[in-house]
Amino acid sequence: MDKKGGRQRGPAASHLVEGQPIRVGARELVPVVRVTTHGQRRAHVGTNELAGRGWGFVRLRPVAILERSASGERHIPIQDRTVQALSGFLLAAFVIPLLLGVAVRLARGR
Amino acid sequence: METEVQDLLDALADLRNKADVNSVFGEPTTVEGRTVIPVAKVTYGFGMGIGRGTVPAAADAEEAAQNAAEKEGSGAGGGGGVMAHPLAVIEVTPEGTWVKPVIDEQKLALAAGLLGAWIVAWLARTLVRIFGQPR
Repeated sequence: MDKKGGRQRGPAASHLVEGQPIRVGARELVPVVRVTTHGQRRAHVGTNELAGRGWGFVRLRPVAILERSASGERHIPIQDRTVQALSGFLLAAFVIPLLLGVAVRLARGR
Repeated sequence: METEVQDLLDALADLRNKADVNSVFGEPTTVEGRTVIPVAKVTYGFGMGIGRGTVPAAADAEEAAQNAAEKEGSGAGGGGGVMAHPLAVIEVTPEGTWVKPVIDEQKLALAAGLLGAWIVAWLARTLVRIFGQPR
């Protein structure tokens, strides 16, 4: 059976994008979002068959908001406090056993 | 077959069109001089597959009779989803603009509980290694 196939998969792309300004009173707020995209396409052609499939995802994460007013432009970052706290917990889960291992070595060294 | 595939492509195209930068920031709501704008991180995912095949040439008459009813088959499927997590709230007042973070307390409580159990286990192990050794 003669078969031919192809696959196209590029690296994940990430870039910063400014959204549509939101006007609130005398201020204009411009959202800044990091857009990450990734996908794959695959095709298969055979003597008696033909198939194709693909998948993709788009991740939108707000990074900051630009506040434009008469007094100028201000960059206000938007941070994910939940992820920061979870990262701290993960770091503690690695560091505390290391410190306890050092304590055991010191105790045995006496 | 073509109609179903087109419906699937239309649904995925609709999902892809919703993956817009402006979907991250919600509609501003103004109450008593304060404007509040919800902010979320959004992830869209989608996938689909399609295939078509024909029955190969029969080796004998019996197989040909068996294959006569099904000479060609095809199928298609697809799906997609959206996930949105609240991240912060932007508060705009005449005095200024602030970003107030939204914290997932349930997730943090679960993680804190697991971390506590992990630390207690390591502490117990350490104490046994230090004081549990025969002198």
